[in-house]
Amino acid sequence: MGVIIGDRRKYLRLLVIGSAILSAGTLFAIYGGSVALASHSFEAGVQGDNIPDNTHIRLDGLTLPPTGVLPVYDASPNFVSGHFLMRAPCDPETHVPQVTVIAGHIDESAEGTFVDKVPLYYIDHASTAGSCVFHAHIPDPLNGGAPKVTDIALINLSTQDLTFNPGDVVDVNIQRVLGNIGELPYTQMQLPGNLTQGNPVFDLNDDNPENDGLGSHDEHEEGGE
Amino acid sequence: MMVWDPTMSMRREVNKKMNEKNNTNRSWTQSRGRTRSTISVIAIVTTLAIVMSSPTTIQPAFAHAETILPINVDDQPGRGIVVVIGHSNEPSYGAKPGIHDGMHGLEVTISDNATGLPIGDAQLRADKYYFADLESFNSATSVEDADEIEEGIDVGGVFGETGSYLARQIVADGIYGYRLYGNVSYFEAGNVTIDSTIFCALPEDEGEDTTKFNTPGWSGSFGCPQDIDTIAFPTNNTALAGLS
Repeated sequence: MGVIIGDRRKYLRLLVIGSAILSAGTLFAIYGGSVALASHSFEAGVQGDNIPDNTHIRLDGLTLPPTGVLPVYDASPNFVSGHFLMRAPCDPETHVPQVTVIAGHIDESAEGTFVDKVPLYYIDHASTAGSCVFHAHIPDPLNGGAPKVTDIALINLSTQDLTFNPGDVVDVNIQRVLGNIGELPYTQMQLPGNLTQGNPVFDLNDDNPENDGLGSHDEHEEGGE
Repeated sequence: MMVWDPTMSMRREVNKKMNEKNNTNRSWTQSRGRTRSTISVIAIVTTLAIVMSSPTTIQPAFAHAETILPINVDDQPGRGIVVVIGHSNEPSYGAKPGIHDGMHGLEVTISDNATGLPIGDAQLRADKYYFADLESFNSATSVEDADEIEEGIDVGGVFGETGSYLARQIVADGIYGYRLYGNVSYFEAGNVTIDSTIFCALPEDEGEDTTKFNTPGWSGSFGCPQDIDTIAFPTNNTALAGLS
């Protein structure tokens, strides 16, 4: 009886050690020992028990003509913080989306308007079937774009019609109000027409650490989003 | 069903009658109008006088003081961290048993200048200086001459309120100054140190300057704790007489 229990314990110990080695090997294979992770240090998130506001817009079947604009969010007069998700056609090599994502404040007056291109993070492991998936932090104090965002829009700055693929979507999750644009207006004007096509695109998953964006970590400290 | 359809002549007749009536009563109407205007003006002036002379109106509402710390991240110019300091629950009043608890903590908020995003990674401490009155403050040649000094107070982050930091305290009437020092991490992409002193401000009508020990760079101010009796109404509230 004692011999049988001893053997079982030995097998159990071997099983635990084997599982641990297998898990460590799997993690090493996935993350390669060193991985770039996004910075979430500036994401204000939701305060207290407030419920974030979410806007979900299906783009499939939509065609934007050249200079065509699709406004997707307007929080005026508040400038806000939140998270932006988009699935849209992109360049297969550079992953730059064909549509340009802009954000900032679009005022009734041109002088009070300032918009800029939103820095996007390309999410390779969620991108399929000819469309790329992007995440962005609204606003992104480290990688640029408009600092005070009341408006988000998609604009076709190419010279050709742009047709979205089935499953293409924009999702905007607004989590906090940071201020009032009436009290802190832009003093510099930049109109959508001043911009060129293509957003800055960062990629934490490729082998190029130069395009990870400011604030990303090189070690496995926290999970990405 | 009868439909009223006034013709032009009927309208003229009605207008004529109304004009006659108006002409008859013009002098009375004008007189009544003048009286109404006078009453309105008196009412407005009286209301303004009462409002302006009220202790609660005279009591100034201080904003917090703020300074901007420049920070260099990735050689990109123009970045700054906004540090705002003041007393919680302003305007602040000194503790008075049975009337006011005097809980006005040292409150600090830190945010990104460009975006307004709160910055939640800062290690802050404060040295506190207290002068009991203006005479004591004016005679001081350095903060070391303060009537009471407390050093190395932890100004800790407020749970659930990123970017807010607080050191709780119960204040007395008087002049408070704080030396705030420590380190602020700019979204893990850079660090900046702060070491700056700021004193509270007395109400403008007292006409006294309390900025002589302030570190340059602060704008705005926060109010010194006042005597809670200044907001009593009525001022001779007998119910409060036995409490103080």
